[in-house]
Amino acid sequence: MNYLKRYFLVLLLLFGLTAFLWAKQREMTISVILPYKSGPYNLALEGFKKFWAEQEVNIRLLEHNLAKEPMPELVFKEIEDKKTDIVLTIGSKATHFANKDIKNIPVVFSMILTPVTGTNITGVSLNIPSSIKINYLKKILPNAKRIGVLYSSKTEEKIKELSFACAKMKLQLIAEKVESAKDFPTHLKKISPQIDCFWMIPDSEIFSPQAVKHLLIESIRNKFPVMGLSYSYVKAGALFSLDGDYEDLGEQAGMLILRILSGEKVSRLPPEPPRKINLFLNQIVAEKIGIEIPAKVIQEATSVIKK
Amino acid sequence: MKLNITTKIVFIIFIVIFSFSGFLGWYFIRHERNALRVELDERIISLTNGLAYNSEYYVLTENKEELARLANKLTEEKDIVYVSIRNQEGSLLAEALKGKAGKEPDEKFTRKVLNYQPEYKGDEELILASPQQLRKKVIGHVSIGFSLASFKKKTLEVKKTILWLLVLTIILPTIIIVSLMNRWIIAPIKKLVLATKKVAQGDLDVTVSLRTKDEMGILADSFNEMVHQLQKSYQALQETRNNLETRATELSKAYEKLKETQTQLIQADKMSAIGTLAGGIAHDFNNLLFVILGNASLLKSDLPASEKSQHNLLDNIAISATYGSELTKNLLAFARREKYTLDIMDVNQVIKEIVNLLSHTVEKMISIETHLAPALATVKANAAQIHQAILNICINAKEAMARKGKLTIETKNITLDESYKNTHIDARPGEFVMILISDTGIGMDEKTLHHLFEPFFTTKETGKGTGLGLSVSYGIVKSFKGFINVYSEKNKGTCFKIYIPASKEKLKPKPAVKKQDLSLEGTETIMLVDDNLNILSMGKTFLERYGYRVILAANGEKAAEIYQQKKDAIDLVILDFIMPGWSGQETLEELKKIDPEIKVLIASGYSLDSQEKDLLQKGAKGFLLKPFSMQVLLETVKKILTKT
Ligand SMILES: Nc1ncnc2c1ncn2[C@@H]1O[C@H](COP(=O)(O)OP(=O)(O)OP(=O)(O)O)[C@@H](O)[C@H]1O
Ligand SMILES: [Mg+2]
Repeated sequence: MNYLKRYFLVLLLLFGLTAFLWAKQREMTISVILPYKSGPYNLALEGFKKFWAEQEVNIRLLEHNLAKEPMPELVFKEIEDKKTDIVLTIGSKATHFANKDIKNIPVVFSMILTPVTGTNITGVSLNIPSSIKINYLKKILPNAKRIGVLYSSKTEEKIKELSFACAKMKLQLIAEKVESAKDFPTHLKKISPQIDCFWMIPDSEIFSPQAVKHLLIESIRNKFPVMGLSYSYVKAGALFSLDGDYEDLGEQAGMLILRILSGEKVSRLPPEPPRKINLFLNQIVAEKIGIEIPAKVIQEATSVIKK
Repeated sequence: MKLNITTKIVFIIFIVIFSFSGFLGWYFIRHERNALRVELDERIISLTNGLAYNSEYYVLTENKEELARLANKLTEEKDIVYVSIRNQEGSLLAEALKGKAGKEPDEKFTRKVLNYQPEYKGDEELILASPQQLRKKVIGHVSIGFSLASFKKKTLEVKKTILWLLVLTIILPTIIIVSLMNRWIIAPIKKLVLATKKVAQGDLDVTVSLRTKDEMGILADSFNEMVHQLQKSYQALQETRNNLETRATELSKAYEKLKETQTQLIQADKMSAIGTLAGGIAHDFNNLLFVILGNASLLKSDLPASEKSQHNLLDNIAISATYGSELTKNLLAFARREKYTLDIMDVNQVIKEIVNLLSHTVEKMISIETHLAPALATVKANAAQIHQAILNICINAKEAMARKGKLTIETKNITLDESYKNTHIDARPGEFVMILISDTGIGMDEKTLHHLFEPFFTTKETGKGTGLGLSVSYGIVKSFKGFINVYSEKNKGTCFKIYIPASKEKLKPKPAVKKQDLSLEGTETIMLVDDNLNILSMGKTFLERYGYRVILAANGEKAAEIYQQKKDAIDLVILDFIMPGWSGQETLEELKKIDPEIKVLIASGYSLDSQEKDLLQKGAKGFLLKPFSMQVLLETVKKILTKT
């Protein structure tokens, strides 16, 4: 972390002045493409806008709400016509859309799980690195040794990475591959007695809302904690979750854009993980399962659900 | 069918309450039933919905174990008897029955089990919890069968409760309303009706007392007021009627009195007219008779004794004239042409004399009773006249009773007031002496009563009565300012009431007997024989005054009878010559037969020279010519008695 901060500071010192002077010279146009304007996407947009409001830079923001565009194909024509300098995409739909059609304009993505790589594209992903997650898990459940995970063929790759991270952190990963969504209860039943914590991975093949419900009910019944995918899972019955801060993600993307506009090469800017992480805890569930979360962790948490 | 007001009201109230309550009861039962049913249905539906929702994932994953657990759990719920869960193909995933298997559910609800599948465009949407679309898919069916037993039971209970309430709401208000009605309306009405009936029957003393101030009370008060008014006007009417009646009786009484007074006036008028006429005639007649008698006497004295037949004719003329003169005398008495000396006298004394006289002369079977007032007031009259008046009435009474009966004579002091005026035209208020003479004789009819006091009115056969007796009495009483009332009933008897004004003066002490000629006194017993009671009574009075004892006989037969018994005691017989029945001559002969030495004095109205001699020859000791003075009588009696 300290390293990261220092790095940013050096970058700012190096390019701040030139960027500032350049920005003063002419007005920049930023096009934002988002699938719809509500919830986390809107939060990210707000953070992005907030970032620019704090800069002494003359910019023009063009919003393209795909849900409101009658013909989304024409959006890029318009972006080109309006002489857009840079494009911000929010969410995977907008990102994949932009990555496919936009070639000459640099694209910065946000709110996507798996970073897209290319010469003229970079951004901020939602994905929190497994090592960070394991660190948190160890703090919350110091005695946890065996981590259970269910995956599908779609997420096989991720499991490999995760199992590597676990091994590194001296944790045993018990992973079961689920062939069909129907089989989820069977597999869950199979691993649940062996695990100290269930690790949810974002896999839409497995985690239908019904499956999540089943999982959370089973967790309470069989007393194993679940690490949820986000705060809403904690509210529904997961013990904790680690989320990127959506507003901060917007600001983070704004920072990237500022750097690109200041003259940095897109290809030299790799996609970034979320710089700010929110920890959510459910103490009611902890009590139900019979887990005592260390007081230090509770203090550190962004929000705790209590009785 | 006649219904009284209570029955009608009870009927109406019952009908109204019954129909209202009936309707309400029906409505409530229906409503409750529906509500219960809706409640049940809603419960079952929500349970079914819940089951469908909860079994979504297990149907999707065909988790029979979990499904069976859900199904069994549900059958523990009330009313639910059957639960089944099937997949989309229709094959049974779970089934549960409550209690004994085979119990068919009454009704069943089935729900689709829906699966909502989000369409994630990317796995990050799992984190952001923002699926763009939900895909809805039917994946199976759940059905819940339930029994209506408890619903029916509850409905029945509700019905029962409502029915009981109904019964209460019908009976209680009916009782309360009816009893209140009865108290407040019907009882007062009954009272009023009863009172009205009483009033209709004429009882006006009815009052209705209601202790309420409502319309009934007002009605009762008005009724009472009405009855009171009615009573008042009825009383007024009654009073008027009574007044009218008294007026009517007064009027009719007045009318009767008027009529009577009129009759009496007419009668009095008639009597006075007759009196004037009779008096006039009598006066003239008396003079004429005097002339006839005088001339007959002259003729007789001039006629030689040899002319025997002429003497006889003259005697007849003299007898008839004398007779006629007696009649005229009576007529004059009626007409009150005579003047008497008026003395203060005691009526009782007169009556005693009359009774004494009568006791010797009336039939033995006729009893005589007297009730004489001891302190009878005196009257101012002539004793001889009063004697005459009473005697005439007594004679009539005796004659009315033939052989048997009772004669009552009574005297009384009496005060007449105004009201007494009605009884007689001459009646006036004041103190009177009343002499009452009643007999138990044949009585009189209306016609006789009407003419009673008229001179010459008689019912007796010609020659027997003159019809002057009562007219004389009338004249005498009237001359003393008195009057006579008569009451008579045919075949029962007659009652005469003589009223003579009472005098305040006291009876004068009897004047000492005049220094009598002692030579005229005697102690011998004398029998007086005369059919005329007046003569008998007069003779007796005089003779007794001079010391003689007097025996009376009303006719010849009687005289003979008495003499037979007391011939030794009787010293002298004074014999009337002209008598009905035995004549003086016959009587004399009979007496002579008993005692040839008998001393008889003949009294005759005429101077019968030839007869006189004849009689004297036959044994008569003397002869008295009527009318004779008492002096002559006494002298003659003394002469005969001393002649031995
Ligand atoms: N007490 C009596 N009862 C019945 N009738 C009577 C009574 N007194 C009088 N009369 C009737 O009244 C009539 C008149 O009486 P009154 O004495 O005047 O005459 P008289 O008796 O007929 O005749 P006289 O008196 O001269 O003998 C009688 O004829 C008789 O009918
Ligand atoms: Mg007579």
